Amino acid sequence: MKNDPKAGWSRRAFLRGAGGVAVGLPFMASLGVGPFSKSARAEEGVFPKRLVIMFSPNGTVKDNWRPFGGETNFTLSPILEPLAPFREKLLVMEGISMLTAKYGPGDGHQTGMGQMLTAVELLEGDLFQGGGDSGTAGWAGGISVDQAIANVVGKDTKLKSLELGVQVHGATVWSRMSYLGPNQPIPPECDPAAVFGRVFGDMSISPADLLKRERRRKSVLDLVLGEYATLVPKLDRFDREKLDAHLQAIREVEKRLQTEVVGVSENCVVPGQPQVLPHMEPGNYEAVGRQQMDLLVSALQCDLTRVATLQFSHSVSGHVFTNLGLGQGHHDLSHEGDSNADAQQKLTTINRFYASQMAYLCQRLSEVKEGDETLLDHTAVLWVNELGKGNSHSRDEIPYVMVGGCGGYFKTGRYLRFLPQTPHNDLLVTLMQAMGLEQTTFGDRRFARGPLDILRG
Amino acid sequence: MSARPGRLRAVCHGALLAGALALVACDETPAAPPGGFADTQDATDTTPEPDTLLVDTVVDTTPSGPVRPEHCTTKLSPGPAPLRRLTKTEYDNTVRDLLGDTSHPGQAFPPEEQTLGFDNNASGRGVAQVHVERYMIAAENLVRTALAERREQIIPCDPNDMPALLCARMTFSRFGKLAYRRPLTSEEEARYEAYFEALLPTEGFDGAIAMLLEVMLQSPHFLYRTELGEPDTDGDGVSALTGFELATRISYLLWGSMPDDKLLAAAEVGLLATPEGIATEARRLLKDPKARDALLHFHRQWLELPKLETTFKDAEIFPDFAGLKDRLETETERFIDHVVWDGEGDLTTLLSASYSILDPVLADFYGATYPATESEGTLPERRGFTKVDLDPSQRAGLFTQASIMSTHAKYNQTSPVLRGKFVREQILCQPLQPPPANINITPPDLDPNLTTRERFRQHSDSDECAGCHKKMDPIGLTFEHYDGNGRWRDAESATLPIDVTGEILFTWDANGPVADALEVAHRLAESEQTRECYVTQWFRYAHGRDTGFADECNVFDLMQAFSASNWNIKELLVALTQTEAFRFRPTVVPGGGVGVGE
Repeated sequence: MKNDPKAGWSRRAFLRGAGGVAVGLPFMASLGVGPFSKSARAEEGVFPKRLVIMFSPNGTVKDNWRPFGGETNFTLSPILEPLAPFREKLLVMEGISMLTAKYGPGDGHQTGMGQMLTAVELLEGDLFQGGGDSGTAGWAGGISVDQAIANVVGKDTKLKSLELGVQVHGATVWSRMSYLGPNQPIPPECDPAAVFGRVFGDMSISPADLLKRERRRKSVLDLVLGEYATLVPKLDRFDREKLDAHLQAIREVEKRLQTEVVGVSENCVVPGQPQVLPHMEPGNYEAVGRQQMDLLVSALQCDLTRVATLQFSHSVSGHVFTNLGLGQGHHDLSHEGDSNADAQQKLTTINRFYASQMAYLCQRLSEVKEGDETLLDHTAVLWVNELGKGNSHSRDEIPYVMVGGCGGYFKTGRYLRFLPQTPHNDLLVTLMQAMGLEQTTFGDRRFARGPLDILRG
Repeated sequence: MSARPGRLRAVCHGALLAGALALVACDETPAAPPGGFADTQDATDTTPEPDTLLVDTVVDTTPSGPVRPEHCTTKLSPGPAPLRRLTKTEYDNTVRDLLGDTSHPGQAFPPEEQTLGFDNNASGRGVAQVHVERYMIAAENLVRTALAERREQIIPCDPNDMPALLCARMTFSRFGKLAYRRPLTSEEEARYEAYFEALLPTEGFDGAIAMLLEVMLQSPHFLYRTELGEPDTDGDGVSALTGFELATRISYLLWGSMPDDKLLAAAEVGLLATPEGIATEARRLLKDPKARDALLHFHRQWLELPKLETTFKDAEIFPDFAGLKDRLETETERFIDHVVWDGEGDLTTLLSASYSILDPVLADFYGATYPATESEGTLPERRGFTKVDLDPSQRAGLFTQASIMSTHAKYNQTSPVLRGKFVREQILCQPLQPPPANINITPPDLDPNLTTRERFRQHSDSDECAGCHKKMDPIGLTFEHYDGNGRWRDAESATLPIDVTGEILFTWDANGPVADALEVAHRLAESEQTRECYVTQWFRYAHGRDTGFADECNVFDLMQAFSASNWNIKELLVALTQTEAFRFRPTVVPGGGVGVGE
């Protein structure tokens, strides 16, 4: 495939057939309708911005996470040291807290997980028994920031967003970070083979057949939409919401079947089918993570999606890192006291492992040239956690780390210490603005103040 | 050990059955010490659900009682009836029965969200782009295969012998009645005719039919169990379900699949308008092998059996576990199947039988004798599962089966906490709360000089821990004869004998000291609370929601019927189709709030 760094961005719909023949489809750079702002639009010569949110569970070890030194002359900590190759593209953010997650139903892990990207209280409900004195809770109470962004910047791509998981067990509020809206969790796909099929399966079909198929699918889905539209008015409010959400999801798929929109970047290199591994087997944790990251990078490179989440395990994860020589589960270890040096060292090792996974992702992104820069430069990779600290279940001082400038939006290579009580709503809305949305607050309005302009310099 | 400053206020509400069993608020909880123990994760962390309580919960000792509450006779109490989308399993079963397709397309759908331990809860099952894509692809593949392989079943006419529109109409009204589990409305027939006529010129007869069938397989009337109910004639906000809606409820409860022709016919002629008519059909469905699968689907989830697949053990300590896993799962499934359908049929036996269904390998594992007459002349490894008597001084029903003992244990050791928790939550319906922050929850390390009981002594020595662990550990420690694999051991080692005495606390009717796990099993097998919990679990599964205040009457009626049948499980299933919750629903008010019970 063409890979000319000077080529710039040309969003020609570009499909490769089974015989490897490239077929250009109608030029669509002028397609730009809807409420999204200019900078999020794919334009001739401008590379699109991408967002990846990576999750790891159970908090961190603050003393081994915090960099040493000042804003620009910092030295990376034992946990973050694997990210050293990307030091100049880093934003280490200390002190931002999930203030909303101290309110509403749910225990520490639940509120942390369900509010991590939604920044609103969980729904009331008896569905999940919380820990400690927390009573019970329902699912998250609002849309997550990745989905809010994808609703806007995902309009032009084959997939609005991509939710990837690595050995995510359970299907409860403890295990979901992305939400279409209140009470609508999105399950992550944990099987790399299934991800490959969904994202790249089409690439083996001849362009003519593909066109024909997409037109047929669009006709069918148009009629399916009619079925939902006819039923919805007959239902009560509660059930109506459910079917409305389904109807909306059909529209998302149907819209993408307009042949002008289905396309890939000129830069696209279709990856090979991932090697088949028992993807839920604990011993394959790292290998499956790499497969997912490889697929993710290809999907971003091909511009098949611009928004993705990558979820390692789940809150309260008890993954046993035998590959790191550890015998105890992560969650058990995370409850050990601060004075247990051995446990703190093991937790440091685990968090350092996750930093090295992030480093792998960034490395792969930086290998894709886009103009004079790389895919990493046009991406924001944010690492999130449902807790600040495991043994206290604290939702204060979440160890946020970001890599990538998001198309020059962020001023990177910095270690920033935020004032206490800086709400994570503001970090999330900053991401929205970085991705070209114009919204000025996100989530619970009691906390949301506005974007963290300091991240821009 | 110093207590954490401040005291936790515990709010342990979360009524299981309003008015029946409730975890009521407790005033104060001892502050949690930084060094306390609370064993929380299972061997492999298959579920992120924290698993220890550290709040003092008190069980209200008011089971549903012998007298039907007065308000039950004056007002219908169906409780809410939220719209339910087919689960992956239901989808697969349905297309098997609708199209003869056994390719399990639902397995490619996203994972099912789990609420209250079941995959079919109406809550939290949002539809994302990926669902729509998978439904679309599944519909394409299903229709392509069906038209290629079973054309005459789908298209009952030849479009060359009659007007194409007439043949199309015959096709989709027949298919529609099965797919939507009711006859098409005249509005729908007109709509599909119009679609067909619009598609015919470009797609041809087969092409247009295929597209229409795909539309129907993605329609909400197929993917959801839509219920509009009969009109609310007396204005009490409660509606009877239509016959077809009832047929759908019955078949998804008892078969996990669509109604068959007979059930639809019964609905059509009004046979489901009475409880007796419903019971007749329920009994007929229970005779079909499909009911066996559906029952297993419930029991697998109730007993947390899917955990086996993702449970891994330290190969140095339990070298044979990896090779036993599939067998252990089969054992429990065959055992349930046998008790319910071929054996005694009752819950008591399920929880206390001194036999199991084993193959020769498992018979060895249990130290039991595989019947010599069984499959004589066959190589031992080819001999199948059959009923094998177990030592009644070692085993009692599901409680002591190795599938359950090994999933409720750790990677390298047993877990009295996980086993106690299993009994509390799954068997007694007493949800426990996970540990609060600032608690050390690492299980104590293995120590060649200490028994498990000794290593876990801190739970009872420390006032802070004991408040809650007395609900789990005194039950869980009785299971210490079963190692992390579930294999019987006389002692932990040559120098470490096992003390399996314990105590059951905080139940309605099973409190008191116990000598061993067998006494726990037998006492709980006879306990009213266990029985009502089993009913509650079935109710959650049947209705896709938790029991609420409005269900007091429903649960009362179920307990009466269950008791009258001497705790027969099939009879409980019939009774589940007889309740007000099953036969009625809140009247649908378009655009309005949810009616009764919300």
